[in-house]
Amino acid sequence: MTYKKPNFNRRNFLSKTATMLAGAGVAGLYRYEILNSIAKTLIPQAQAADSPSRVIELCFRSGTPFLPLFANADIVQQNGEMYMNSPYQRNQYQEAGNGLYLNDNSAALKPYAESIAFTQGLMQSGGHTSNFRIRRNGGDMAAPAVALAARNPSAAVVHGVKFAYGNRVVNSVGDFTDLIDVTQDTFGSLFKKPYMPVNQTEMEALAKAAGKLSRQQAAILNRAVASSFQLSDSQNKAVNLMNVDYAQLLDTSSMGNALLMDSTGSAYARNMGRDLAKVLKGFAHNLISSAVIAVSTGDWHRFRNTDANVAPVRNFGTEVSQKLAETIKFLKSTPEPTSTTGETLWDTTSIIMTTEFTRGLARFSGNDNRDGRSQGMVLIGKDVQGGAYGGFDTSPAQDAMPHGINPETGAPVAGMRNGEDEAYHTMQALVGNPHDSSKVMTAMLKGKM
Amino acid sequence: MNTKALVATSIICSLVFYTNCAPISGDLDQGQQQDVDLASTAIGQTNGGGASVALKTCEFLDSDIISNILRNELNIPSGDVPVYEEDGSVVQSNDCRTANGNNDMTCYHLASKQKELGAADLANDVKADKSCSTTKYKVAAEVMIHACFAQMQDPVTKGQLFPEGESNFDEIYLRFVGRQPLQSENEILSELADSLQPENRAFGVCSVVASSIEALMVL
Repeated sequence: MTYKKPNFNRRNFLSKTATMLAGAGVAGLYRYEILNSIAKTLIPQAQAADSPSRVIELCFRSGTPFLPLFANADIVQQNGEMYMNSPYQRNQYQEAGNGLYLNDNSAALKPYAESIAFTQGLMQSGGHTSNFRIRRNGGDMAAPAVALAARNPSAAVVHGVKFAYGNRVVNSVGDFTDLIDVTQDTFGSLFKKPYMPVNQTEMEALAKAAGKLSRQQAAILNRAVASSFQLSDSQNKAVNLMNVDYAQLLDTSSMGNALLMDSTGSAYARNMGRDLAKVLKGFAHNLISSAVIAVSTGDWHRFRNTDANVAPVRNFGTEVSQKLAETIKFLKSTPEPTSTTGETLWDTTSIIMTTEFTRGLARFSGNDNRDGRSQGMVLIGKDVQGGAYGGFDTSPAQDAMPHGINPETGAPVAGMRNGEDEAYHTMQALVGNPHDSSKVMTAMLKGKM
Repeated sequence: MNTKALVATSIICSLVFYTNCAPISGDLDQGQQQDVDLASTAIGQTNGGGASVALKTCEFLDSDIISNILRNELNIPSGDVPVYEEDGSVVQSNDCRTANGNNDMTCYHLASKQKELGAADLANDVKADKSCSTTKYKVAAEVMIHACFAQMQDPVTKGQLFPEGESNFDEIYLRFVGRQPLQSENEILSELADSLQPENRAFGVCSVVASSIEALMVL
């Protein structure tokens, strides 16, 4: 029997180089130049296509609809008492050129509309926290962020994190490891260099020996234990976390006010912005590749017929859209840390927004709107075919009941909603995870199928 | 050579050390191949007919087992090690407990890192996570480094782990990994020991062996 050592992992090499350079305080552009020089000189195979992929899943709870952000022509034309809290009725709406409508509150996202796909025409199964059956009671399908973290195609230091706020969103993990549960306070501690009882030189000697020994053990275990070399890599990264203080790279104070707004706005929006800022910094230095952020707005009944609900609807639109716009700006202006070809994080990152169920837009029975009946999904990324997908039945008895699309053409289909499995495999395809291509809503993606 | 090239060159040299990526390609050398063959046979990878057997998924030691290792192999009665501040002082907090539940008002690693180690949280409907991850390796390595540093100052514990002297790794390997080290593993540990100050050699070997992937895996 001969043992064949696995191929040299260029992604690991480049990733570690990039992270080390960042840790040494080398600025982004200069870092890219050095990285490119090393890649070309030392490892020609580094030029081969091997794209990293990153994902942020924003999981909205408690019946939050995405209608305060986006709509289609069916909705914006609705007027009168039945739709009195619609942000499109009292607000000026604007069409983005691809069928996606925004309102004055969500206008910050209009420049990115070509990369934003929105639908609420998805079937719902289960109640609170279901989020496409890929979370609580999710069975054997792992959430996209979990599946991507397991692949860790960017060879990030830590595979991924979740800001779950006390399990308000529970990932289904299938055969994979769940993301690490963090808070604003504990996120940085994942990367903080701990006190060690010996000096740096001796710690480096320990790290080197630990890496070698675990790799040797991985070779021995290779025929008995799955992914033994990945285990060795994980252990090596862990020991190296004791030599370098990566936590210093996570300072978010220089990031835009729209993300960090400390004293104003809703608590859920403040948390969402701060969490996004941490995740983006983590991406920028390849400390993580995958993140889930739970956004809990409180039980959503804001299309009810009280004037008091007008402001919360609009605030949601303003706060969430500004944070998303700031996030996209950051992604577009920040180099992908493992790239040698000048890609930015925008080229490698997808944002998936899901909501566990969506309440209807119209008032129902004179005082409320119907619970559930559909789920919402927003996809944001370079490979997304922007637009508003599906439609709404605005006949009086239907309470703006959403409907879905033909998965291939994107044409609305009255009276039907797309399945959770279609939404799931579309998300999986977007982030490059294994998926069932027969179930992908290809109309919502470009360049992937 | 310009400055940028100098920087790049020094980085490359550091990385070869840091990532242990060299050699870039190729097989293990002959000695390593023999080692692997021996080990594979020893842990029985095939059934009688030579057919392949399903690979086992890595299962990380839970904190109780790690705690027992600290007690039984490193003679630490509490089965846990303190958490340190950046300056090396012990963290003090009223909220901390030792792994065995004693309320001694001191922060301890295993007790304070239950979530990171994948402990079940029944109150929040979270099952135990037994997978092997970077985070768990980090917690365990930190624990073992501190435990080894403390206990290798103790001649009794040191004598138990290195009964034939600090250059013989058979006993410590047997205790933490459950088998004797292969030649290639002995070479790695010898190289490590040679690179450390004499007073830190036992500590270094202890730390690396106790935090190795095989030592931290349920087999």
